[in-house]
Amino acid sequence: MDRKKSMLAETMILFLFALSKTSEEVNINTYKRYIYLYYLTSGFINNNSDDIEIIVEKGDIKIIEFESIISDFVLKEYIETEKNSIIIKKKLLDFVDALLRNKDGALIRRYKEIQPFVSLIQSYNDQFVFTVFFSEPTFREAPLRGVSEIHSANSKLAVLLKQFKSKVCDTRIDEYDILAYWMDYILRNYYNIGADGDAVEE
Amino acid sequence: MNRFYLPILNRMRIEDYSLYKCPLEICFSNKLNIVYGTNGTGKSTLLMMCFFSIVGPYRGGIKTKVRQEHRRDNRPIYEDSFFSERMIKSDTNAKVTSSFTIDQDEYIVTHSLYDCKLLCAVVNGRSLPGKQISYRTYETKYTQNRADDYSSTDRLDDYLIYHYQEQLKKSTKLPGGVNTLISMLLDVMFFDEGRKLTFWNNDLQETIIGKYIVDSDFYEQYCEKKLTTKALESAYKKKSETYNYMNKFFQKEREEKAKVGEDTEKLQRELFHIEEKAQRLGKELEKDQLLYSRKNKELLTAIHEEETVKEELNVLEETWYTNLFPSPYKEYHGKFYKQMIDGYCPVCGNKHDFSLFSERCIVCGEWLQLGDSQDIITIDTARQNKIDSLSETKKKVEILSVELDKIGERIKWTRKETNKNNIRINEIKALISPDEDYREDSDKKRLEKAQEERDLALAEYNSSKKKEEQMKKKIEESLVDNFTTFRTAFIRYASSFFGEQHKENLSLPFSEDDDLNAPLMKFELDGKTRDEDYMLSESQRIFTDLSFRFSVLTTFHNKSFFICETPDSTLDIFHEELAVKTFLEYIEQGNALILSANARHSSLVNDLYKHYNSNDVTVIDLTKISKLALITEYSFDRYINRER
Repeated sequence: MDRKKSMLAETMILFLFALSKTSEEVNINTYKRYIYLYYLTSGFINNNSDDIEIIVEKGDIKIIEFESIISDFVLKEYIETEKNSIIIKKKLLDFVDALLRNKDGALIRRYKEIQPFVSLIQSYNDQFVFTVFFSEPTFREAPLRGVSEIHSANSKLAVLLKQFKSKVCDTRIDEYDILAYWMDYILRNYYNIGADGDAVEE
Repeated sequence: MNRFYLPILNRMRIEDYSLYKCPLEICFSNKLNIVYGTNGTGKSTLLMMCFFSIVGPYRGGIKTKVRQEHRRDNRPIYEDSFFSERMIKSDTNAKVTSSFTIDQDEYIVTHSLYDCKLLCAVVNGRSLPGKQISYRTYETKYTQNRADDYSSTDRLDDYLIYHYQEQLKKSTKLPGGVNTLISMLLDVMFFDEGRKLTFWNNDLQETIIGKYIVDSDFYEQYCEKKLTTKALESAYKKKSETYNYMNKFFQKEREEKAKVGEDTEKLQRELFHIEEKAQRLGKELEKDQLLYSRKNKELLTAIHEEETVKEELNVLEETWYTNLFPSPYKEYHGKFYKQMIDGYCPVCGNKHDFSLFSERCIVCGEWLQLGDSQDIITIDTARQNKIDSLSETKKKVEILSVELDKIGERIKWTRKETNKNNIRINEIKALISPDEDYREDSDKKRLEKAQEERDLALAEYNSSKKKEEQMKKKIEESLVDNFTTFRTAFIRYASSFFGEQHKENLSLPFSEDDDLNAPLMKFELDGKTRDEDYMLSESQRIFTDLSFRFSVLTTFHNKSFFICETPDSTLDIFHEELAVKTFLEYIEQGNALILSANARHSSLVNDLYKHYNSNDVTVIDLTKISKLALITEYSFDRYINRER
């Protein structure tokens, strides 16, 4: 496994571990969108520059190596896939749990970056995450620009959130509050006005 | 999206111009116009007259330089004798009058073909006021006026050209006024024989598109900023030249010395004060230089340390990931080995003998390279320790860099002040005592001064360039909202030009760096990016450029005209057919096409001509009109009939 793929696999396995706290089953498309949104906001909330390649096609996304990593996890019996669902298995939980017991390791720091994001995003139901995903500015702009391949490092969302934070002029405000505010703003607008401009019930 | 208007050419009357049989009256069709003739009969002259009769003898492309510390914008124009040199017999009365419409305004404008003067401009039946003056003289006054911040005593509004250009600005509503109109006419609406390409000119891409999408004040500021950046670049080059030619500089100094006649006593007092100040600055400089040297050493050590930690972290990460996600061979081996040793294929289930060796892969037989697994908990801890230490060294490097910058700035300032003082000291000494030794001694210092001025000019240029880049980014951001419509038009024209077997794409990439020269838009043909025009064949680059121009005209305007000089000269029969199809599409959108054609075998002109009935086509047959046409047997009628 090359370095880039391994780094994505590390993120993906930590995501599954964090998700397992509420449910052993996760929809594969929702999971993929979580990963996408995490990378697109990571430059803002964690100030890190990890980069993944994403292909935008037919109104959805394809994360390079995502499918291959899922196959590897199945082979290692960390997960099972059934139709559109991923079932997280005990082997994965034991494996990650053992690694996270090391409080001095780098992995637990990474997990501490991911876990709050997972908590935040899980507090919205799948339909809302779907809406947020389709309102993400990089994803929305790509077809307008005629671009089919994007890099998470060029995230428009991260830039906008950073700009927003700089305008707030309050150093105490947390990055997650800003992200949540943005998500609420999207949902409020979307569900009050609706995609076609008509009023929609929340 | 901003609305503004382009001229629509209706009629043109040429009088007393001996290249053609005059008076020559051309009534332009709002669909197809063909200027036909054999070589050297005045086709290009006639096409250029179309633009000249609207906007005057401008060639496009404002040139910006710095003269005497002031920015000078020069709008290049043709020589006054440009059209008179093409007359067979010189006639001072030669003139061209064109009737054109801009939005609701009707224009009748007369220019002299003898000396390129604007003779008369009537807008909506009202003659514009002002004195007649040649464009060349007007441009000198215009340049001077801009350089003096519009405060020149020689008022531009005394002249007819000024009122005409102001009226054009009002009618077209163009930000940047006549300068933008010149660029539109010459860079978008005219595709000349020289095949000057617009699409790959990064300077032009955003200036052409920008005016439609950002507010006009911002657009004008952006155009001004571009000119300022060019001027600062020119200033920097000048300073650089000065530095390289110090002999001239010294000569100038000697000349200046002769002019100065200052009071010796006063100079001695000044000298005393400056020397005292110089001494103090010298001490400060020495102290700062020592501090700089020490901090610089510390920084180099810290950078080295950072690199070492990075490398060590890299090794640890490699080990970490190899062990976190080891090769799945063990899993495959566990699944298949037993069946294979029993002589059954684990995939198809058939009986089969396998030669299995523990040190080789059970499927392909390659030697296995499965390293010993390591304690990943220890690696993970080591990894975190390295991350922490990397973060510390990074912080250290950052702090030292900031400190060094501050000290560096201080040194620079002190040096500048010291140099200023030294120059003045040398000047005073040279003035007090004619001894040339002082001058020799000061040469080195003056060289340093020139170097500093050059560096300052470079810094100013870089800062302006950065600001221009930020403004360009804003244009790019604004373009996103309109890009889909523009892209659709572009791809429609490009597909029509290139044919079905090719796949075209135009995109607006997310900008990754602050490169001022990076193109705003990216063209892909058959999946390959064509960042430079040489990445395409001649016909392909013409098609791409025409697609860009047509999409600008049809996306942002309801009606326009387009002039193409001998479009068939570089196309084969197959590509001519594609060009015909695309030209027809452009005309069908409500636009007029004016093209010139040689008396040569070409299906392009023939097919376009045949497509329309005679009411929709205007043919200007120079074999009948031009006095230089010697061979009348190649008239347009005969040409068309022969092609049929």
